[in-house]
Amino acid sequence: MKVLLSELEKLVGPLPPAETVAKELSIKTTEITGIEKVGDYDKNIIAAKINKIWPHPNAQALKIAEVTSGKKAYQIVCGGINLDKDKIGILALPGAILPTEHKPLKVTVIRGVRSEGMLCNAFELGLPKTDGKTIDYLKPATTPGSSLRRLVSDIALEYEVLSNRPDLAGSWGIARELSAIFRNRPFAHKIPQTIFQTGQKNINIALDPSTKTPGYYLALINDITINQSYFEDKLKLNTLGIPPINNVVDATNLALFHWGQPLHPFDADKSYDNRGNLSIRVRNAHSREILTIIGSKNIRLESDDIVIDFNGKSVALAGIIGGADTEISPSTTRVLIESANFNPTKIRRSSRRLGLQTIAANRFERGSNLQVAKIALADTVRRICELEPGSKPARLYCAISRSVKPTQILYNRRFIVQLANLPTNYDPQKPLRNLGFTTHRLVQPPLFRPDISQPNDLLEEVARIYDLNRIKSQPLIKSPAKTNSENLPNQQLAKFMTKLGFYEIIGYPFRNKNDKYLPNSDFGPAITNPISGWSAIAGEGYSNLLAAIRRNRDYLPDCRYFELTKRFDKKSEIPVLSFAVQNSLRKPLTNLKPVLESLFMWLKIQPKISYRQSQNPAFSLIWQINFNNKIIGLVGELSRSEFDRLDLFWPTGLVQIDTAAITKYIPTKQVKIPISKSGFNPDCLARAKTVDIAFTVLQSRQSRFNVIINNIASKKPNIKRAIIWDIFKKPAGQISITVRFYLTSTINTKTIRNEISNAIK
Amino acid sequence: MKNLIDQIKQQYSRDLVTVSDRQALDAIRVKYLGRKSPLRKAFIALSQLPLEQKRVYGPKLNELKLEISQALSQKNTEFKTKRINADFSAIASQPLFARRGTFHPITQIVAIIEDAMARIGFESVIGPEIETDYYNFEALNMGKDHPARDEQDTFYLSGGKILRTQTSAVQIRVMERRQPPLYIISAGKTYRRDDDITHTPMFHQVEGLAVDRNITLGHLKWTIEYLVSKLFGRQVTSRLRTSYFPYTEPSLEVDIKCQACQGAGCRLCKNSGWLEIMGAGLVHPQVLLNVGINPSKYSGFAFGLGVERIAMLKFEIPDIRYFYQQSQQFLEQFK
Repeated sequence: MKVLLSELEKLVGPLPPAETVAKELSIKTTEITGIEKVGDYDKNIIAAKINKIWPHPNAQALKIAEVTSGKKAYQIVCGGINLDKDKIGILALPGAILPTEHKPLKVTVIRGVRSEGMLCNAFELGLPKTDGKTIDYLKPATTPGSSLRRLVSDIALEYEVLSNRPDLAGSWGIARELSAIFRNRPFAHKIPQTIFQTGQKNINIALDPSTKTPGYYLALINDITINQSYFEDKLKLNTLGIPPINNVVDATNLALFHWGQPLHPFDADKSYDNRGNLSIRVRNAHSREILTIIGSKNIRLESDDIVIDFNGKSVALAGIIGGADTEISPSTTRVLIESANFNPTKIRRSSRRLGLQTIAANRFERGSNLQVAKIALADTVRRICELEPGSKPARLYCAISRSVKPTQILYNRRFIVQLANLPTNYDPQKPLRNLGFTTHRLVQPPLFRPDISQPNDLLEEVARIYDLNRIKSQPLIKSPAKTNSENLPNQQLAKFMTKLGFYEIIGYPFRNKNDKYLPNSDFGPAITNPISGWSAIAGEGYSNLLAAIRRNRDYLPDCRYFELTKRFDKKSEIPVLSFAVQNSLRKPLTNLKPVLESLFMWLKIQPKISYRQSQNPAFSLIWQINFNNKIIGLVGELSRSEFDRLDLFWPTGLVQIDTAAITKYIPTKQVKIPISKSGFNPDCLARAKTVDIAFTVLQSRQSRFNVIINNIASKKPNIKRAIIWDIFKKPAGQISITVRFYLTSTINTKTIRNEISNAIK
Repeated sequence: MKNLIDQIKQQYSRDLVTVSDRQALDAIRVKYLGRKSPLRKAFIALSQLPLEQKRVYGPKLNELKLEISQALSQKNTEFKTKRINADFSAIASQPLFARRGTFHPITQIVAIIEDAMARIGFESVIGPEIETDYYNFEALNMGKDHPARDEQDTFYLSGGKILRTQTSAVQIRVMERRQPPLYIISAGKTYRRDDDITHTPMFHQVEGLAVDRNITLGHLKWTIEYLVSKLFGRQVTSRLRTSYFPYTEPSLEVDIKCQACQGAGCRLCKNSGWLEIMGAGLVHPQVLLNVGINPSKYSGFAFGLGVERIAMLKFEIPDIRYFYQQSQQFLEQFK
């Protein structure tokens, strides 16, 4: 949603710079997500009155116009088909750079006639969604000679309408907030009255109770001429992201952004029956009813959709989009404008189901207000009639099924001040009054604020206008939580696995039946509304590990991954620890065995691992881990056919353990990897680090040197072995001996180099 | 002769069924294929017979011999593999090269948050990922017509349950079980029916909840400031912004000053200078009522943050999808 700063200033008076407005609104009302400059045109583009028009002597399609800026007259050659005397056009003078051009405009001679500028249309002024055949006019009250930039330049603020604040959808709602924030007084802006005629009614409106429609207003305008809108309105609509269509449709669209109330115009000429009567019904659609909507597209309706029915024929999908039959056309002379409230839930369901998420639907989904509907309708009718002097507001019709009663909330100052941690002398009534609430012992929120219903809502209003950032922090230090953190076992398991060189992965639990890389057993409960082909959730907890191995082929053949995840069956979700290994010996089980042994030693449990005749062809070998008379996990190796099918290249070993069964055995202290009985010690069996050191020794002392080296190697705990790597003779009875030291993995080679050098000295 | 062949056949098949180990199998091999075996005797007897009978019974005897030897060798291999398979301890041990694996960045962020919150008395709890409509929506003040309940946003499972859309469901479970004072934090996976460049269908949330007498907005603000300083350091400025969630009133969102541009406006913060990191608020009285806590006696605050978002900001990860692509290259950066 966007709002123009100039509109806001018209409603609340002068405002601080846009950045300040945006900052305050962001904190106190709704986040401003963008600030955009609008209509920043070249100063050589001005408003000019068309004085005279005569045909071009040498070209049929062109005309010559004399236009005036008030001080000076210019002769312009123009191709616009709607060139009209006495109107205010937009004149680009020589030197002006148009948004669509890169070079300044020059005085030119067109077919022998001198043209001292150019009368522009909206397309040339950078509006994309307009046709380029006509020229555009400014509103009649514009003074000729004023620069276009001064007339139309503006700043648009983009924001999101929170789902509890439908009243913010429109300049009017934002203006109310700004009045409370910057003016420190309630919003008061008078709207001129619209006078409707009275007399015989030939329209009757009925609201079917099943549609739950709160109310429906309809206004008739007679003798209207359908024109294109003035440039100012086109620019506004373009900023708001709506293509201009014609003066009536544009006026209703602008009203949506002004009032937040969607309006819909019908061509009255096409609506009445032969006798000049119109019977309107807001009803549920018939099942499989077909409606042709604007844009000549047919949609098939369901009985849950609401339609507007004119004399027995549906003409619009209520609150979402109008029908093609009653669309405004250039020949329209009478217009009916609808302003209603519809049931938000019904509108949301219909618009989602039909894929018609229009601005109007979006607005009605959040709930609307009848009072606003009436004011917005009257105001829009007045505006249309002001711009089209011949037209007359004729009648206002309405049908209301239920009126909204104002809410009343008990005012409790202490509650507000205490919970919001405000200064004790602060008066919360002031901001409430500024927001349009009536405050006494009972607080009554305005009707357009359906979100206010209880004391906490008042607290929110007061706190946000006070500024949440000004609220004083109150420390909250409790004694540290006991160590029975329910997530601790998982963290400990993760620590254990990473210490063994396993990488933790996290994957989706979603399973696609067409995914050729999924084991057949891996399908748990089905998803009833799948996306991206995911039709079920995981039945096993190891598929993501296989995907990880496949993904990381660069790291073959030492892939080690683990995941703390869940597998799902029909009844429950079972948290599991699963890990997978591929090794260079192509015997992954030989690697998994010491890991499992260490794990059980760490947990101080002794489960039995018993062979299970594999029913699953995916596994060539499979064991089950039995503990406390329950199967708590599986160990297995994928069969040849399976790892080929899954593109894994090499034999792969998998373990899956239900963590719930072992949770209470997981030590809460620092994780230390125990040495398993099969001799697994991650430190001593590491791939040894080596360091080569060259020594220059006298040949006569060679045997002595060997003894020294062996001594060092046996005494230093970090050195596992030392071997003479290379010897070569040097001049003067010297030899160079290179010794290779094999070190434990934990030692830094730089440190050991120094240590050895010192020991030899 | 025919009787003899049939007799041997019957006897051997009966014996073979009862064999339970390799020694017994050896005994049977000696019994039926050895020098004193009935089969050997039958071959000797065959040589005494006239030519026509030799032609009839010769091939039959050979066939029987082949059959017996094949059955025995098959049984033998079966025993062999069974012996290896049945005994997990018989597998040789080949230790892995020592190295350090990594925690997933998500796990790291969760650990930082849980640790920080434990220091100020918040206990970590976990809850189920498959939830009922009641815990995920209704108890959290999201009535039947709330937009978040639309099929667009929630994964529905066969059997009527749903994948939880927020960790706030755990709040309700804990509040039902225990009485205030409550200071809890809950991290976990959550699911929304969204799959595009900026949304993954699964993501992680951390939810905090405090319910006690006289919990105020001031307490919430202090807790937020504390957590932000633990996550991003003390020098980071944060701001609170009014917002809306159905289960908190007042609701607010927490922004931190964009670290990439220091508030000047850049692509990361979409030129706003601020980055949204969490939602929070005072617990809605209706939510307290739903679980049987008296809102006039107790008040509380709750906050929730997206772990991926925090991890992306903290580790400068440009795309949310990296977390779930299981690339070791990606994971190795978080050692």
